[in-house]
Amino acid sequence: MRIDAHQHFWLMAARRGEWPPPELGPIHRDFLPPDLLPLLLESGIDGTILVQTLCSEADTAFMLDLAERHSVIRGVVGWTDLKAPDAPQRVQALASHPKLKGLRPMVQAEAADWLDDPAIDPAAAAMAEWGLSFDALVLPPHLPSLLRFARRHPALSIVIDHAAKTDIAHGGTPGWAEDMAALGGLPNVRCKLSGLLTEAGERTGIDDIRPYVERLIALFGTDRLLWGSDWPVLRLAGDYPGWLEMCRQLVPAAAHDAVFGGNAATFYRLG
Amino acid sequence: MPSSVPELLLLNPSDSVAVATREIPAGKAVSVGGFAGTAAATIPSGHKIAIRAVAPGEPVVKYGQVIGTATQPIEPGQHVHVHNLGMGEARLDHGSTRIVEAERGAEEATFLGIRRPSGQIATRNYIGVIASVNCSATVCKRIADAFNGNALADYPNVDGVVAIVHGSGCGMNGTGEGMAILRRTLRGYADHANFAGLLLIGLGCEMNQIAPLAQTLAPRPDGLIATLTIQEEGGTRETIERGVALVRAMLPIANDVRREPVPASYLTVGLQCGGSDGYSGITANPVLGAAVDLLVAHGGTAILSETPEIYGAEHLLTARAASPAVADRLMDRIRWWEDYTRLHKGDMNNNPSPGNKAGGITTILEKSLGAVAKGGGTRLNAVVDYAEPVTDHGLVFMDTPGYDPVSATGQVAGGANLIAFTTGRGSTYGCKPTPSLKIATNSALYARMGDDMDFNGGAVLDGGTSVAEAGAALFRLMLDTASGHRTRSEENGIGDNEFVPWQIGAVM
Repeated sequence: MRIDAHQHFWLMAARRGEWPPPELGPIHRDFLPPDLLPLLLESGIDGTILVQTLCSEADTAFMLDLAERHSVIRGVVGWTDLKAPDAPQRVQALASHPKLKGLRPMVQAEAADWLDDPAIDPAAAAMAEWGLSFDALVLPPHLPSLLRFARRHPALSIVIDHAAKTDIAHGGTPGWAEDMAALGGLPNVRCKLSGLLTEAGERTGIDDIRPYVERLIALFGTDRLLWGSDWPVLRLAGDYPGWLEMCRQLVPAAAHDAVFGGNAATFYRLG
Repeated sequence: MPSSVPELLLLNPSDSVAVATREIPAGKAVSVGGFAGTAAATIPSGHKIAIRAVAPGEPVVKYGQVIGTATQPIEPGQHVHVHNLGMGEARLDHGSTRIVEAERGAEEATFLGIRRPSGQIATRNYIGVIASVNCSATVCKRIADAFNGNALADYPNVDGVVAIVHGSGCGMNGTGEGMAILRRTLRGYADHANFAGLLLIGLGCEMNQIAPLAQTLAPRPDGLIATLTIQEEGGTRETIERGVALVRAMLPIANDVRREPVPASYLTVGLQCGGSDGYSGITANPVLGAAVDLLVAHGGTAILSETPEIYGAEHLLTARAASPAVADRLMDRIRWWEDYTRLHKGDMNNNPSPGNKAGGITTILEKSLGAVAKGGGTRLNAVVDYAEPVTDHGLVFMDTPGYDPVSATGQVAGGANLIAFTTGRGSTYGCKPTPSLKIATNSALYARMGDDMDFNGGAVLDGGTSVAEAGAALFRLMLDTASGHRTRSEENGIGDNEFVPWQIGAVM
């Protein structure tokens, strides 16, 4: 089973000025399952994990509605306010939807110590209790607090989105590799092989990307890397089959089943 | 028939039989596909000749599908019919059959569609005036009529104003299956992508009230939806005047659209056949099936329907079902039809008649395959009720009656933004707001009714084209039509009277 562990759908009308701005022409429009299906068919991808893009439960409901009607969407990573007083109850309610597999707060827009705030702990414990995973949308400055968060919640399955968006365009963010190494040492933390081209600026050749993929394989191993397209954001930097093919060349063939599907199926508990 | 017609027709590359297009005398050398041999016996026109050896108990394949099993050893060149082909133990359980996957080619198929604020993609740009009840039908028609002639000259992007009227909406149970179907159908039309703007008109006291319908519709931009009731407006003339003004105000907004390239996966094609003839099952339907396989390979959706016409061969579809649940849902609908026809003192026997057998049709599977062939050979991804929204991609089955306008109305309500209609006798069908392609099963019809026919499926008999080539050409015509290229029925102004929701409840 080939799974794209990270993609998005959105309707501009629902975003009311939220990212993406009109300057990002290739992605400043609606994206729905029919836009992605031809790419999945062309690339032999059987299913996807649909990931939130707005801090709203309405966006989560929109995604779950799409997932109910489009069998190609195997799981949804939604959103709820994890620091709200009633967050544990909301987590439990969301977990009752069979296609809701995980939650993602948009930590990248928050302070570096956002994950250190104990207000998030009841929700994190509820996520572990109800079997939801945690997508960490973080930047390199958040990695130390993510490490502490992950240690505080060893029963919570965590995946780092887009390898924490290290600054590939400028040779990588200083300290990224060390912080990622520490996270790679925790058994409950995985990483997505996604989003690298978007951070690569002009350096989008396979040899520009290779050192980062090799580093991620060294830190997490091929059993804890999940390939994702990050489509349609990918459209800013590349195309779907091109990114897939690049990764297929960079990941050892023996690990393809795991990285391009098996790991996502395990992590997101796909039936 | 012109002499350029090949003697043998291979309907699918994986077939073990070919079809004779005219009588082939015993001993004559024949060839088709990769087969070359001699006819072991006289093969009557329309009958099957083996092009591969088939051992007893092994499946015989036509249309790329199992039509039965060999009851005796079959050698290449032999006549295949009731003497050596039977239903036998043909295994047609769920998942037991071959799934076709068409070569999609390197190019992504796209068409020029109109993107709606809801995210839907339209193939046409109409304003709909929808009646909740028969009592408001005339008012709706009068409002639409006000925009005939040159009234839309300043709005080149608006395809027209169309009245969606019907004979129902009252004198019926408010909660029964009949009302549920009517409401589902009206909601499907009201939410259809091809309507840029919408005016809903009721009488006021009808069972099928406007307000509950309007409240459940998908949101539309301001100015593009309005409701009127005749009793509140103070009468027929007042309602017509107000309705015309409301539609006139919608025109500039509706006109402000631009077509943009979108993937073919936004195309949902309703499959129909009507006025069938002896060629339907070997020309136009397999050609449409080949086009559907391409459509599905590009992520698009095709809706196969007309449950009574696939009866007896439902296992051909359940065998291709994506899951046991999908197969079960089709069988549920088949059982519903059995009960329904029993209630009305009819029966659903679809076995080949003596006339069918004389024409070369051996088994019930083979007969129904002629109809099912329209759907191609891909996986059956979903089964939906009449007029239920179709959201799954690939091949989908919608339970509808066989009567074309009723069946197509359900498909359009389900979201079909194109209809593909095969016909042997010559249907003129059109169904606003969805364009309808007419595919002739034979070249004589195509020549005789050229102004009504969009595509000649008969070319696979006498035009030197293969089913696959014709299917690819038809797929391109589908994309062009979805992009705005007008169909014959649109040029002829047909499609204002073809909204016919299925009526199954008691009329009281």
